[in-house]
Amino acid sequence: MARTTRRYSLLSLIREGRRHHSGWAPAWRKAQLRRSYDVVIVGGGGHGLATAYYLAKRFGVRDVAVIEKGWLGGGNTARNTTIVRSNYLHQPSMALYGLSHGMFEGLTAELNFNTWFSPRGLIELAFSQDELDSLSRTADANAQFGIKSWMIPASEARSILPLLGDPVPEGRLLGALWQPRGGVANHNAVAWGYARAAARLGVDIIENCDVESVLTVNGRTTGVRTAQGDVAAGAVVLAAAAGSAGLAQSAGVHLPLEATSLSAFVSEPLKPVLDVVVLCGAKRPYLSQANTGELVIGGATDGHPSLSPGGSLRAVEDTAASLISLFPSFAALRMMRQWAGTVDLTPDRSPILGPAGPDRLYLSCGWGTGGFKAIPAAGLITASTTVHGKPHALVQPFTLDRFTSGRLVDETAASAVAH
Amino acid sequence: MKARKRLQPGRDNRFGRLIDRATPLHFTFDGRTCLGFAGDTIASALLANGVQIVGRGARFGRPRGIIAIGADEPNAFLTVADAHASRPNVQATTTPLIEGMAVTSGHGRSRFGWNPADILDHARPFMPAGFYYKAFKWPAKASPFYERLLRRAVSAGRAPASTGDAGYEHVHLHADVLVVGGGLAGLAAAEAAASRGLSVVLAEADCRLGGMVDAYDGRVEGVPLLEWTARKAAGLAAFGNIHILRGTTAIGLFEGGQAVLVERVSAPGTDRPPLAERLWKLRTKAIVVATGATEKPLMFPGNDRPGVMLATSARLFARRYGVLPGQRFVIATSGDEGYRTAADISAAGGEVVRIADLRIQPDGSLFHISKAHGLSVSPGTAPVGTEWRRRGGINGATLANRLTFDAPALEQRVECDTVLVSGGWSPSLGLVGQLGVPLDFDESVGGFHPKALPPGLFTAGGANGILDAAPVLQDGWRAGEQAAAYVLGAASTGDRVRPSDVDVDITWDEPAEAVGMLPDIASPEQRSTAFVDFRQDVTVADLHLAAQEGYTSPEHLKRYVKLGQGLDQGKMAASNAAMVQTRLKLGESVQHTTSRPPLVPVSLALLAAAHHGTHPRQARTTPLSSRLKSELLQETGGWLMASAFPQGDEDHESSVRREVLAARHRVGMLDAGSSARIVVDGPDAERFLGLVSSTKLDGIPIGASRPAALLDEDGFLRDQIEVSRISASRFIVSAGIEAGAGLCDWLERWRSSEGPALRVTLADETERLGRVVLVGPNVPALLSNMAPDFDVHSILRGASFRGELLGTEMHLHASSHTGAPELEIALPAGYVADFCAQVAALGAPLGLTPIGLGALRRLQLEAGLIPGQVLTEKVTPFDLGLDRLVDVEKPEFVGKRGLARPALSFARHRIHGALPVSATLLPPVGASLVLDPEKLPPRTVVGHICASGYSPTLRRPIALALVGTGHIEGTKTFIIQSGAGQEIRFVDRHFLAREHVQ
Repeated sequence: MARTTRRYSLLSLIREGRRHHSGWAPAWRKAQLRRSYDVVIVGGGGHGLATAYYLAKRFGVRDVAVIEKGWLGGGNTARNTTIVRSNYLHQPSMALYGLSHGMFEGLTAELNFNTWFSPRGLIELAFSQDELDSLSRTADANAQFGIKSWMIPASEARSILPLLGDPVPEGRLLGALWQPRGGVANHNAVAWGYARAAARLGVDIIENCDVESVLTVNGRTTGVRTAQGDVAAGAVVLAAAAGSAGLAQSAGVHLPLEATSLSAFVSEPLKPVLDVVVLCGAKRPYLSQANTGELVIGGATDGHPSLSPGGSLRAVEDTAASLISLFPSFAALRMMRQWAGTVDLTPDRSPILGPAGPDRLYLSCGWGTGGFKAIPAAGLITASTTVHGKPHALVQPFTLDRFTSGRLVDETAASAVAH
Repeated sequence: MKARKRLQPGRDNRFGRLIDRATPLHFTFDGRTCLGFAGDTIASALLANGVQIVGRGARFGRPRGIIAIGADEPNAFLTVADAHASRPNVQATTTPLIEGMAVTSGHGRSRFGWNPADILDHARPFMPAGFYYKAFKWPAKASPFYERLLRRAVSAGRAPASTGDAGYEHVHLHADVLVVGGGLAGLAAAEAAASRGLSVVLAEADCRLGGMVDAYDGRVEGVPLLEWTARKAAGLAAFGNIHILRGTTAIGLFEGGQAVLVERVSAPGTDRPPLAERLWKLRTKAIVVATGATEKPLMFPGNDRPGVMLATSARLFARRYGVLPGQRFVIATSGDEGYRTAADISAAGGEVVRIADLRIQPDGSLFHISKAHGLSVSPGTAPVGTEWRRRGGINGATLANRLTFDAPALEQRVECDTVLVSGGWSPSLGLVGQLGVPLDFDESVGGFHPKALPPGLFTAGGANGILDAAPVLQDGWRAGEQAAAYVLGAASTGDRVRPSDVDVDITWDEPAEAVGMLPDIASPEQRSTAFVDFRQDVTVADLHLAAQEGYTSPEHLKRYVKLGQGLDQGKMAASNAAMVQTRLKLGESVQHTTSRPPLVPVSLALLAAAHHGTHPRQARTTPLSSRLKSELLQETGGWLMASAFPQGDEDHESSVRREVLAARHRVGMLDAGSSARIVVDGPDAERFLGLVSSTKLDGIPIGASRPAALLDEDGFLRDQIEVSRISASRFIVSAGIEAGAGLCDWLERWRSSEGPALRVTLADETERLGRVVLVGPNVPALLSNMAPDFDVHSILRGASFRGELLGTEMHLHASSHTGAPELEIALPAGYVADFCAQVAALGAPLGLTPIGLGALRRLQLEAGLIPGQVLTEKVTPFDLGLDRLVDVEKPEFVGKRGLARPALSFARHRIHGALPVSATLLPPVGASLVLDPEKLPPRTVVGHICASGYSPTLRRPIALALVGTGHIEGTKTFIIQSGAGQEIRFVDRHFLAREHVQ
């Protein structure tokens, strides 16, 4: 049998092309669940996989299992609108998302997997004085922190978005927040790239295995109970979105997560028609055009607790109507596919990171409507927290105890999705 | 490209049944003038005009032709322009031809005879599955270039410029049973359910009922099949309780029996009517899915070449439109459909060069009949290649015996211009999959079937894997019966027998063999040109490679190779892909990936039609603001309110300043119709208000009022309200002009969460009453003009008046919206406009000026009032110094636990007046307050400007700042403007009361 090819390069593509690609190795090993690991990560989405990768890569912890209930990257990693940006309002958020944004820039090379990070520019529109004031505050906060994001006048925004209606029923366009390196990335590639890189470093990736509970003895985390039996673990990381709440409960920890449905849809494919990512304000749609030509359009959450996997038609109708009121010519487009994600919202719309309470149990959840953009940085700092047993400096502001201390990091205004 | 002759109608109008040969239609394809007939689809007209290439594959740019006749067609998505609009991505097989249409493929050859995309096919060996993730990485700097390249190369139409003037509407309907699909099974099911007296909706995507019956010959009850079906359909139409929707596609099934259907209203051949599409939203008790089955193509090298077509589709093109897609045919079939098509081709004068039957030992009646008619049939033979030239199309096919595949010498080349293929049928279950029903792949039949159907959902006929006419009729009837029994309850599940067990005389098919890749032992090279998904250019080799690389879960595989993600949503590809996956023996049973609505693309204009062209979250208007021109209005908290009233060519800021001065020195009139007014009534009203408000509210004397705070669950301030007691059990909650429209909903949420134990009702009276605020020193003079003996001073001091003024019943009391002496007048909404006109006339000599939100905010700023929204920051009452509005002794109130948290139980912020040292600088709202402006970021931020504006009264810019309590007073603080630090001084925020401003 000929040598297998692991590395993706122009040379390896040509070599494999000449032998009908018979030598490509599996992207990640199909591992058998062992009885014991140093670290068990529950949830094989972007966050869980990135955590595993950085544990192995940066901290040399390779005895790690990522246990996924369904298929890898099949939760909100597969269902979000892939927006990457860092123009948040508060310093802890800017630090976290800013680091992540920077890591996206080098992710393709880091993972040897094309993640198609496309810093095509991101624009957020203001149609009222209140929205303009709010974005101006974000822009100024960004400037003082060193995030490259600033306000541009309406005329410049219009030249970036020639299809924007004029006038629009929403009001007059007053200005916009512009982040030139904001953009999108390929969500599948992020999940698969981390999975492949982590597996190569020795991480066991287990799919189709339900984790039923977290096992604790005298306030110390000892492992997890799975559909395939108990697994002992030196540390456990919960990165299972809305599913984290039930698992934490099994260890006696209450997470203030509310699950609701967030719908999105794609249009039919089109020749390039939109070159930037557009956020139209908190109650309005956000959209970008995929490299395959579809417009990827997201809207508001259902606004009530829901675990419905399909989302509501009502939400899609609202989003479509709002989109058309802003971009009249999009009325003629057709929706090709609709789906929804079950987002895990916290009261302050910031994630929950760091220690859960019982010794050696860590969290990376509560990402709500905006977790995709944080995957690289959250993976890194969650890995660091897990290894050192104490919160990383960037994790500190986002720990669970902020809900009892009241030191919230309120990003309702900057999350750009209506809740 | 040469025009083909239409077939003569023949006996019984056998060929071209749907076209009207007397009504020619002119259209163009890629600029060339073509001719079709009324009744044609775009696809049939293109075939009749000899068009072979209608598009190109998404990845390799290989030319593609029409392969199917229905919604499963993957290749023929074209840009179609008529007199009204241009539409991209129009499926040619399901779109009627209209006179004057301009059809473009966008993929034609250049005038040099070739297309740049042709090069891509040569790079095919180096573009494997997942190539997208492996390549385009070097150098990293070039990634924007690669991205542009890929985006431009997208195989899709251009975005349309407008919708034309088409109309859209939504219709809601309740029905007992929905039958999706009007073929034999659907007709039988509808009849069975309707004969039970249930209301039935029968939806058929085509504009004719009968589904595929016209592809078959034979008799039912002694009548030719087609005629029998027509009679049956007419009979159903006569039922009073069946609503038949033709041209209507079910695009989505949702939980709870909800179904969404799209009806295309435009009739073929007519010009566009005012209504283009109608969205039906059905609530049903039971649903029968009788969506039939789709024919599968065969997977062999070169199966994507223009000139390869599905056998049944070719037969239907001939029968329906009188078009034969070629002259010399090779037919490769794994079942009996090929023989039926061969008979038609012979009857139509085409030449059947060879029938390759994939089955080793076919023994059905159609096989024997065909042999007896002298057709050349090779059993156990499969196509293993096509010969195709850019000019001229297919000129041959290679056939091989399936038992001797490993002996290439035994391959046989056959000359032909068209290859018709049939790989058997695959049930159409997309709608069932939408409900989350797992669909398992059955290798023996080569199709999916639902594991278990949820209650109230039934499948029938082809969708159930049943293909012969007689059992299809029976199965349809059975499904209709079961649906009826489900609706009527268990009591009536008597197995009724069909009213007449009809005599069906239609040749039965010998079952088709479910085949995978051909030849059965294919080389990697052969697999790399055997296509599974024609739209997305997915080959058998891609599926093998994906599996080799570990993308074995169907969801991963689909995403890795982009299977089924094109416009056709992979209707034709799913079963063949599953077959390849199953044959790979990956150890997992193959399941269909999650189906997502809509089943076919649906226009955004139609989805949005529920909003009747208005803004989806239309803001409310007051009696006064509803009369204003939209450019004067501004949205605040869900209301549209006047922003300012500029005179002549005055700009907004000048108008605001003039209005402020009028309110300060003369009299201003302000619309306060948006300030909430909610009546809280019932024996427990006082207790309820005590629960929702953090303020001590018991014991308010009747007739008195008290300011109060409402907090959210986290303890942050939601609203500042005023609670007035009308009687022992009746209170009025009122809020500010900009407090927002959602207050009553919020109160209602807490009321309902307490349940019926709390005897209290809420009524939102906000819109019943108009409110007008008069503000300024001339208010007493104005009032005495209106009612000479009126004691306005006692009202300004806190009394209230209820009575008649200018002939209208109204209520007057002092209010505090602006921070200046003011009076609020409440009167029934319908009278407000007239009243204001009278006041304006009376007030004109006193300088009465209408003022808007801009002036309101400026007046508030001058008075140092905290803005309704302290921008994007959540604040507690303590942060704003509103400690008096929190009664910490109260055992419970909304937000108490949140507010009690250590970090929130003291003031975290303080609101200061903020003045720039440079008196000409207007600090912009949102500007951060920093301590170290000369430093590079990150800088130390201590707060931000939360309101600012030029004060016309003080003749200088003023601002309010929200500053952290950790900030040490006296430390120099700056905002950064145009890169330079500008010092800000903090002062008492009650600007008007202070001298230091001067």
